[in-house]
Amino acid sequence: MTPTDRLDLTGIPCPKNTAMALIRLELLDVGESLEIIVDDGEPVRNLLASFELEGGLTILERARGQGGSAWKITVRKET
Amino acid sequence: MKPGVVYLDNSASAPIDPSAAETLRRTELELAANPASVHSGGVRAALAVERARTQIASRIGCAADELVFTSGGTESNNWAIKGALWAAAESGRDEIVISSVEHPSVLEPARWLAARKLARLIILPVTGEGLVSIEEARKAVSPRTALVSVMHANNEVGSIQPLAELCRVARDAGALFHTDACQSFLREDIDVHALGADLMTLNSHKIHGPKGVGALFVRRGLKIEPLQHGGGHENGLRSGTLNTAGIAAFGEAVSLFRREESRRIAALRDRLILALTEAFPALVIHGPVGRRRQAGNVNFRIPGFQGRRLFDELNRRDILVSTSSACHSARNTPSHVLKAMGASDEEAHESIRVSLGRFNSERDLDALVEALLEITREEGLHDSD
Repeated sequence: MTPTDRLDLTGIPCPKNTAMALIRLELLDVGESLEIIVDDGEPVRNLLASFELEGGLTILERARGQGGSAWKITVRKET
Repeated sequence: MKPGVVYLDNSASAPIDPSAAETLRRTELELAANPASVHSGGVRAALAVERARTQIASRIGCAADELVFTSGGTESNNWAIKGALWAAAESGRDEIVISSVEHPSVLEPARWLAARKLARLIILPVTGEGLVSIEEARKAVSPRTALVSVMHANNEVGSIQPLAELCRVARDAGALFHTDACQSFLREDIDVHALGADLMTLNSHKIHGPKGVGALFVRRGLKIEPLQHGGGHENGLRSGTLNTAGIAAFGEAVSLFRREESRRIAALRDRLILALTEAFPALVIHGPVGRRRQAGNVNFRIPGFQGRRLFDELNRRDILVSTSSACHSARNTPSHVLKAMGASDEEAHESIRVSLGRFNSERDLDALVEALLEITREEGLHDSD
């Protein structure tokens, strides 16, 4: 499935990366999805924790990439 | 503002819009966490900051990550001047070119660097209308030039500089270009990338946002040295806990600003210029007229009448204007801007600046003109009637 939008958050510190992802998600319609590239470690952990807390989002894909230094997260807006 | 006060000093500080004030209050109370904290409170605060960053960036045509929040215009200007010069040191460029009508927050850091032999400073002359000549700028730049800094709209006389051409002059010389856009932000259409500027200063309280918050546009990929070191906030460019409430209210103030507002204020300005010149045939307007003048600015003198005297009498009547720019009007030295434009000390001391904003109406202009007629009549300097 092709995501509606893409956002590269590598190198962006927490929690700014999460805030940027949430702002981008606000611009999507329900059912649309966002592919996010985010750094491994705290950034991806914090991002996923915030998505869970936020609610109304489904994680469609989470895959380690860029030699293990980053993750690709695809999230769909449900509400 | 106290009821009944006619506030005509918006270029010094434009009263905060009630909606921005409410955002300031609510954010301070509800989003108290540090926007650098990673818990949910921090995320909420960071969200407010990033929302504001996106709103503000969209109004100058840049990406959100090209905007760095600061404490205001003075910090942004200081940082742009010092940060750009320090970053250029490696390339052997040590020259700063600025105009003679810059705000003190550009002039003073440049002079500070020059006094310590950290930079060579070149100050460009201006025309009688306060405009920098492209030819003069072209003659001034050299392979040693690190930075050219010319403000967009002048805070005292409202002259709007030919920024696109000046950017080109800087670029042709391989130098960076900075502009202080505190007085033009939102009032003029700005597309910072189309313009070609590398650095641009913005602030909040000139556009009816709160005081104590501003921003510096730093073109993506550009390396400038930080002024403040610490926890590495703002991608290591400006350390210090972000002023969440101020930033959110800055964003709100930006979102409230409509292009039509500038047109309305420009129409008020032109109406005031007409009314003043009709009431006082000898009155002199400083600076250009029409599109080359910032929307809210009227700077004038009534020959033979001290600006300070007019200021005091207007102040007594609750009509608030400025004798010069607010930041240094207490010094009682003649305005460096008017002097650079060719005014004598006496003429500079006669000048009054009126600056209009969102909450002004035609009634305020009538009150000003009426009061000036009354004051000059009392002083025997106006012989109509």
